[in-house]
Amino acid sequence: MGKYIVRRLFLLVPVAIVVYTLTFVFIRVAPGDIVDLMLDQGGGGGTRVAAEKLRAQLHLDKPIYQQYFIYSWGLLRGDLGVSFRDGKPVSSELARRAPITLELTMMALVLALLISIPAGVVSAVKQDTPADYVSRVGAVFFLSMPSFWLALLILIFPAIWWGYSPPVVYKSLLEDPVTNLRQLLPPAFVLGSAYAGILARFTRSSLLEVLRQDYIRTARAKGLTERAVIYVHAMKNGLIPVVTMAGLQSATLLSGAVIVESIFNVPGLGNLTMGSIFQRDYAQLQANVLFFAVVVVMINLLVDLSYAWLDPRVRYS
Amino acid sequence: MALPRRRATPLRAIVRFCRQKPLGAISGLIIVAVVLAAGLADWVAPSHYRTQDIPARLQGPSPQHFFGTDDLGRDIFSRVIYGSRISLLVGLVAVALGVVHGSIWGFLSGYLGGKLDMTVQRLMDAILAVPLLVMALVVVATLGASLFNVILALAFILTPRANRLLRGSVLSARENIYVEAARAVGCSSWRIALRHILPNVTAPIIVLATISLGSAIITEASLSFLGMGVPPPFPTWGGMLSGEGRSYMIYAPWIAIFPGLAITITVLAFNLLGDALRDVLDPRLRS
Repeated sequence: MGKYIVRRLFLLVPVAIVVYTLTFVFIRVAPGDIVDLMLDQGGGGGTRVAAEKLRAQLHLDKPIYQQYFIYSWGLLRGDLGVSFRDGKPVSSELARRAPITLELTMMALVLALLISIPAGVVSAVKQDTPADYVSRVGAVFFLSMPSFWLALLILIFPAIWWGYSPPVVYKSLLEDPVTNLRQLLPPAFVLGSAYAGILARFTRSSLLEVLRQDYIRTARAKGLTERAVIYVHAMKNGLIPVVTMAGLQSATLLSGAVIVESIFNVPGLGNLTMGSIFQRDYAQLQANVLFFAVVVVMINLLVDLSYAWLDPRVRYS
Repeated sequence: MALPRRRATPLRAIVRFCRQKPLGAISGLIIVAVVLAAGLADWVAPSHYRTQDIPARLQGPSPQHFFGTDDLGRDIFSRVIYGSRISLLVGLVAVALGVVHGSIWGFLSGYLGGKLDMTVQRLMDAILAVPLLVMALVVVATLGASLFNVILALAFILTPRANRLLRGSVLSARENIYVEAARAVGCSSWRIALRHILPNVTAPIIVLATISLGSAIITEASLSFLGMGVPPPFPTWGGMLSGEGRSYMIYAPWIAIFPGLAITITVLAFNLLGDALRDVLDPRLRS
């Protein structure tokens, strides 16, 4: 098991190199840079000399391959660079914003699991009944709804009906738990809804397959209650593909965080990523994309490792 | 004596599909309606998408304006109809490009294996590791927001999904006995690939393409919503939910409701059609 984990962690290296090389080339090829943007925002008041000085400071005056080596050398020493916008280390901004996105995505994940697993189980156990149809149509409906539209509806209608809107200034969970929950629950619900749709569909199909197995028939034949058959025997095997899907779709949650955080004004990584794209803050954008990729790969590794716990037949070497 | 088999014409196949999968058939009809509305927008829409009627601004749904009017007095129903053109065009072209490109590399990767397979798969790992929308935003930010670049960005992010699916199908198909038989009778490698393996791996690709269309339409709408999609003045469903109009949504919620509903219904139809096609095309799911 230990050897397997080390080997998988080594495989992270080529993925990280390809991700940051791709991102590096993409954003450097984009026309214009942050210096142009700063001069534009300053009404063109900046001098040519000042602009050249700033470019030299940020290494933007060098050819792309040299910039790449400078960045790679920094990365090898654990230095992600400084933000082009405010000169602060991007790692500190990443460390400040990542917990907010992590809290939001964890809340979304918990909400999605709380909705999807019972819905999927009911749908499978009561196959081809009205409960099954409602659950299936609900799942595919949430899956088809764009998250930004659901977010707008959640902001508009409570405001029209009850004059309610979520708090605007962010408070951390430790600082003010009630305000924090009032701020993060609506975006977490939006983020979790499409995810819940995917997971409910998977729970249903996976459980239906397990319920047709011989060992389930044996469990029923020896007189176990239906509850015991489903919760003790069927669920553990039926949930293995659901765990895989939950891991593989984790990128969906992070993707959704970009748009949902922008709409609900949550100061997380998604919001920071949007800001870095618009402000051409290459260093910050690159660090964020790399962080997203590493998180997704680590989640996939955790998913693979969880198989051994869920299914004793799975052994890693 | 055996009865003569009825020839399976396309019409018969469609009738059988409608009988077996009524929900899939209704979804197909919705898609046909959206395609017709997009193609015939100049005749179907009550007014042009740029026509402004300031005195009639922010009016609710009525017989004159089925979906109401926006902050510039433009008819939302007409703009939703014109907006379907971009959604469908971007969705169809991006999915076609992404699926064909991903499939070619997936086929070669799975069939040839070796170093090519390893290189292609590590590249796909990297693209898949970055959240879809973030990757699309990075590509559009690089190339600039335009219709062509949005299509390219979506095709790029759809490539790995088709690649993985086709690679997996080829790996499994090439172990079949009919491939061994073809090899035994002396078929060349390329003949086996194109005549025996390819026809057996196309069904999952058709299903993936149908389901990816929904995902492409949502991603295009998300890019437009974030101001990184097809630029104005041509209306897009995502773009109609952002910009100036957003500040009026609390007084005129129909500005938010109808474009979003158009996206949801179209994507829902593609997803349900994809499900129905999968059930019909996958022999393991036929009951």
